[in-house]
Amino acid sequence: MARFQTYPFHLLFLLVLASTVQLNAQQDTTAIGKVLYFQTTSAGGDAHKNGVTALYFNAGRSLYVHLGAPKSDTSFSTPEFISATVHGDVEGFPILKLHAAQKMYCKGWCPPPSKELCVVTDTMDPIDWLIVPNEHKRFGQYNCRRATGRYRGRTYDVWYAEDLPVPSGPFKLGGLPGLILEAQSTDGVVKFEFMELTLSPSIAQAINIRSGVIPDLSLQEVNQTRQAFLKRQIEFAKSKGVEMTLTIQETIEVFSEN
Amino acid sequence: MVWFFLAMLPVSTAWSQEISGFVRDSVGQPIAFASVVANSCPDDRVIGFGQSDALGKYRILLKSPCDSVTITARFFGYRPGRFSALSTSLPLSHDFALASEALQTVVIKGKSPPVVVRGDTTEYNVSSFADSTERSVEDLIRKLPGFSVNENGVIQYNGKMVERVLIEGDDVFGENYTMGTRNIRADMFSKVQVVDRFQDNPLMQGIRESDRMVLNLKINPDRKRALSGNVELGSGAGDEWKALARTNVFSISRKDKMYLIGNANNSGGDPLGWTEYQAEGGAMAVVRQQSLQSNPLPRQSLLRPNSLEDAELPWVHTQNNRSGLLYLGVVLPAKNGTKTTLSGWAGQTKLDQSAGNAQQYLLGADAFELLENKNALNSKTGYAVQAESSLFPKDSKQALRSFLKLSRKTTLAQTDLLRSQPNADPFRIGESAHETTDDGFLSFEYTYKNKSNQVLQLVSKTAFQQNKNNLNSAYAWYASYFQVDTSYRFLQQPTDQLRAQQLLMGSWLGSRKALKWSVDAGSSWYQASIRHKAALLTEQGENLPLGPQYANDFRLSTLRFFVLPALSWSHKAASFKTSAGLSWRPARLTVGTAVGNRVDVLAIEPRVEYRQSIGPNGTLVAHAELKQQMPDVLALAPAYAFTGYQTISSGLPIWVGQPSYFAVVSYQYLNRVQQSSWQIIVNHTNNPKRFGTRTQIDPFLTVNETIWPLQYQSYSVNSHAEHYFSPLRTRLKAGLGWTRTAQASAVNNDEPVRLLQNTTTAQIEGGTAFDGWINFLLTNQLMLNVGRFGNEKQAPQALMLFSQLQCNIKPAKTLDLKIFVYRLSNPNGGEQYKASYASDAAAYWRWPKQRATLFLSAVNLLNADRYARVFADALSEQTTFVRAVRPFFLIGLDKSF
Repeated sequence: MARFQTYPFHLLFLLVLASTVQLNAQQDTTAIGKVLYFQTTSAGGDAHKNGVTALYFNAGRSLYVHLGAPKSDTSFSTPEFISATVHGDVEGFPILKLHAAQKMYCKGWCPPPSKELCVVTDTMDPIDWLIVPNEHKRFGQYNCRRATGRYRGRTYDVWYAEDLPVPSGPFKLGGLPGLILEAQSTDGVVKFEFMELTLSPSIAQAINIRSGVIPDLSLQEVNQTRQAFLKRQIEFAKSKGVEMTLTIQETIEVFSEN
Repeated sequence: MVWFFLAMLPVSTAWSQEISGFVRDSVGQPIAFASVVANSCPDDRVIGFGQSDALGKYRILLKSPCDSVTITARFFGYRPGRFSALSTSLPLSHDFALASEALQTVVIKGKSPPVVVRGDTTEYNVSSFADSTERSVEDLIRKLPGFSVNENGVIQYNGKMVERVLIEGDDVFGENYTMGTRNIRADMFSKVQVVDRFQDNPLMQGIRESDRMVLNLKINPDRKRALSGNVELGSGAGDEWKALARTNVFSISRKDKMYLIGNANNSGGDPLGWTEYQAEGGAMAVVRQQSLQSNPLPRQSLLRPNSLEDAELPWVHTQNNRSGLLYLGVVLPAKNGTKTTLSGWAGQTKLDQSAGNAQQYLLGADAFELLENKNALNSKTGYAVQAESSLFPKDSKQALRSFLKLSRKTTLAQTDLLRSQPNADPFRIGESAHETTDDGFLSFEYTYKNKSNQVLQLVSKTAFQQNKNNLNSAYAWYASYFQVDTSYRFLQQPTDQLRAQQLLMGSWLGSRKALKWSVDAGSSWYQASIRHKAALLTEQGENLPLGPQYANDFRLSTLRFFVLPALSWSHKAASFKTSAGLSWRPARLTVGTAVGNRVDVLAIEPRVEYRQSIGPNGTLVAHAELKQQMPDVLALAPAYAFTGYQTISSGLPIWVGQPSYFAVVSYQYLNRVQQSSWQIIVNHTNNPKRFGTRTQIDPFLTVNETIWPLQYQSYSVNSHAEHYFSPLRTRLKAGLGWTRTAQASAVNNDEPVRLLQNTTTAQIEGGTAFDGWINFLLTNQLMLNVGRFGNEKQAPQALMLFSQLQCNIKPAKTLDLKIFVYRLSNPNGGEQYKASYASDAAAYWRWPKQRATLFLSAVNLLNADRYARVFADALSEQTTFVRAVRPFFLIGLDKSF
C-alpha cells in the first residue's frame, strides 16, 4: 500500500495503459461506404474543426472524422496578443457510432494529468424526427427526403436517402431510416454540406478509433470535469493575484448546463 | 353527439399499429441492421421505420392512418424487399427474404463550398470561380473575390500585399513568385489558400507576431502523379511571325517534388515579372526582417532609365516582346525533419515600343509645350540559384535553417527620342543605360524554445552586391551647359558600385500573463563604395573628362550596434504595443585616397500602436512611428553623377539621420466567410525624402534645381468595400481614395515654393463568379489629378477614365470564348487622345478525352492606333501616348499529360 502511495504515477500510468484500447464492440469494422461533407460552424469552440469531414459506414456502425482538423496541438496569438492553444488529433477527433447498441464514442479533451486525448462514451439520444412529406431532393441517383429534428440545443434540417439504409449522418446526427447526406441547423450556426459519396467494397478504412485514453466518464461528466478544472485554475490564479475570467465558447452541441 | 366526436378524437389521433417480423436472406440467414420503412399509399408519407436486430428481427410502429401501406426492407448487397397491404387487412407480422446482389461501386460528387475560412486561412475552391479559360494561375487569381494583381504580377488580397506564393506549402519561387503565377497552368490547382500572419518557423508560432501574407496553391489530386503537366505550342501572324512554346512538367507523387517550367514567346507574355523590387525597403522591409530569405541589401542603382509606357493596359497591347524562361525547382525531404528546397532559373525579357509625350508647362508667362516621340527598348536577363535547408527534429525544441542565393541580373534600357520645344529645332536624343548586378546572400537561423514558451533566436546574414553600369547618351545641350565645343554632344559614364553587409542578431522573446516582450539586439557591418567618372565625347571619339566634380571615388564604412526592445499588453479586445529602437552608428566617409571623416550618430526610433477589435469582424488600428533614415552611399556621394541623359544628382556629404514620421488610423471590417469587407485608412507622412541636389540640363526650363532635404508631406484617405453575393454568385467592389502631397522645390533657380498635388481616385467593379455559361467582370476607374504651383491660380489638372470589360461565354461544354475590351478616356487630354479602345479575344476548343485544347487568340481586334493617358502635377499637364501593338492572331494546341 505504501508502495502505491510512494509511486502514484506508476499506478496512474498502468491505468492509462490498460485503458488505451481498441474499440471493438462489434466485429465488422469494414467500411462499405464513405461520405465527404463540408462542415462549417460559426460556433467558436468547434470552428477549428471546420473543413472536409468524412463518414465511413457499414450497416452496423459508422465513424465520423474531421479531416480538416489540426493534426497536432497548435498555439497562436491574435493581433490583440491573446494566446490560445488549439488541440489537434491525428485521427481527426473521430466520433464512432454503434447503431444497434445506440452508443457513441467521441474523442476529445481529457482531464489532467493525462496528456492524451480521451475517448468518452456518449448516448445516441433519439431524435424525434419529423419527416416532411412530399419534399424530395436528388443527390446523384439518390432521392432524398427532408426531415427536421432537435438535437442538443439546435433544430436541424436534413436530407436523407432511404436507399442508403444506414441510420447515421454527419457529426452525431442519425436515427433516420437512411443516411443523412446534408444537414444544417435552422439557426445557421452549423452546416454539413454534401461533397461526395462513395460506395465500394474496397474502402481502406476501419470503422474504429485507434488511439486515446478511455476514462470511466461520459461526455457530460467530462464536460463538467473540464469546467471544474478551469474554475480551479482561475481560483489558483486568483490566489496568486492574477485576475482571470472564464469564457466558454459556443459549441455545436448546446448543453443546458452551459 | 358532441360526446361521440370527443370520444372518437383521441382514437383517430392516437391511431397506431405495430408490425414485426424477420429480415432474412434467400437461404434463411438473418440480416442484422436492415432498414425497414413503412410508407402510406398513395401519398408516400413515411409512417414508421425501424431496423432489424442481430437476429434479423424488426418491429415498427405505424403512427398515422392511411388507406394502404407499403413496407420496404433494405440492406446493402441485397435487392429491396417490398410488401403492400390495405390498412384494414394489414397483418401483425411479415417476414422479408431479400435476394442478394453484387454491391455496385458508386461515386457521386457534389459541389464544394466556394470559400472556406479556417483560422487565418481563407480557402477558395477553384472550380467555383473558374470557367477553364484561365491559362495561368495569375488569370485565375484575378477572378477570385478580394484579389487584385498589378501589371508586374504583384498580388494583393483585401489591400494587403502577398509576399510569397507556395505550392503545397513549399516556397520554391522566393520573392520572384511571378515566375510561378504567370507560367503554371491554372488547371493544376484545385484550391487557393490565403494564409495571413504566416510564420515559416513553426517554433516561432504564437511567439513572434507575423504580419506576412502568403498564398498556398493546392494541387489538383488527379494531377499528383509521377509525371504531369502540359505542352503548349502556337504560331501566328501580325507585323511579324508570332510564336509561343510553353511547358509545365511536374513530378509530385513522391515525397520529393520537382517543378520544371519553360516559356519562350514573342506573343505578349512576360514570363518573369521581375518582382524583386519588393526588396526596396519601406514597410515590406520591416516585414521581410522576419523572413530567413530577407536580404538586408535591397537593390540600388545610380541610373534611373526611362520605363516603358503601359497606358494602364496589359502590356501585350503596348509592348512587343521576346521572352524566355527556364525554371527548375526541387524539394528534397529527408529523414529526421530535414527538408531542402533547391531552385534555379534563367530568363530574358526584351521589350520595345513606340511612345511619346506632350507636356504643357503652366508657369504663368513661361507656359510652353514640349513634344517628344521615342522608340524605347528594355532588355533584362537574369540567372539565379537558391537553396533553403531546414532542420526541425521531431519533438525537438530546436531548429536550424539556412538559405543561400546567388544571382545575376543584366539590364539594357535604350531610348531614341525626337524632341520639339519652343525656340529650338526638333532634335534627336539617344540614351543607353547598361547595368549588371551580381548578388550573393547567405543566412543562418537557429531557434531554441524552452518549456516556459520563451524563445531564443540567433540570426546571421551576409550579403554582397556588385553593380556595374554604364550610361551612354547623345544630347545637343551638353555643349552649352558645359560651355565646350558643340561637337561634344556624347556622354559616357561608367560606374562601379560595391556593397556588403554582415548582420548578427540575437532575439529573446517571451510572455507572462497579458504581457509579451521581445528584445532584438545585435550589430551590423556595412561597407559600400561608388566609383564613376563622366566624359564628353565627339562623334570621332575625342574624349573630354568632365573633371573631379563629375567623378566619384567615395566609400562609406559603418558599424551599427542596435537594440530593439518591444512590449505589448492586451486586455480583452484591446492591445497596446510599443517599441523603441536604439542604435549607435559610427561611420567613416572617405573620398578618394584621403583619410575619411568619422561621424557618430545615435538614433532613437519609437513606435506605438493601439489595436481594438470591434465585434467579431471589425478592427481599429492607430499607429505612429518616428524613423531616423540614414543616407546610403548613393545619397552621400559628393560629386555630380548623371542618373539619365539630362539629369545630374549629387549627394549631401553629411552623415546625419533624417527624421521622418508617419501616422495611420484605419478601420477594417472583414467577414471572410461572407466575402465582405470594407476599410478606411487615414495616413499622414512627413519626411525629407532625399538628400543632395538634382539638376535638369535644359536651357529653356530648369525644372528642378533642388537642394534637399526639403519638407515633404503627404496625407491620404483611402477606402474600399467589397462584397460577394453568394446566392447570386456575383461580386461588387467599390473604392474611393484621396491623396495630397506637398513638397517644397526650387524651380528655375528661384526660391523654394510649395508644389501641391491632389489625386482623387474612384473605382467600381461588378461581375459574376465565372462558373456559369456566361460571365462578365466590369471595372470602371476614375482618376483626377490637380496640381498647384505655389500661389498660382492656374491649376494643372487631368481627368482619366478607365473601363475594362471581360466577358466569357461557354456556348457548348467543350467551347469557351473570352473577350476583353478596355476603354481609356481622357476628357481634357487634347482632341486626338480623347478615347481609345483596346481589345483582345480568345477561343478554346477542348477535347477532354485527348486532354487537349485548340486555342485561337487575337490581340488588338479593333485595330487601335495608339493609347493615351493624362496626368498633372504642380508644373504641367502631360499626355503620354503609346503606339498600339499591331493586330496579330495566334493558333495553338495545348496538350496535358
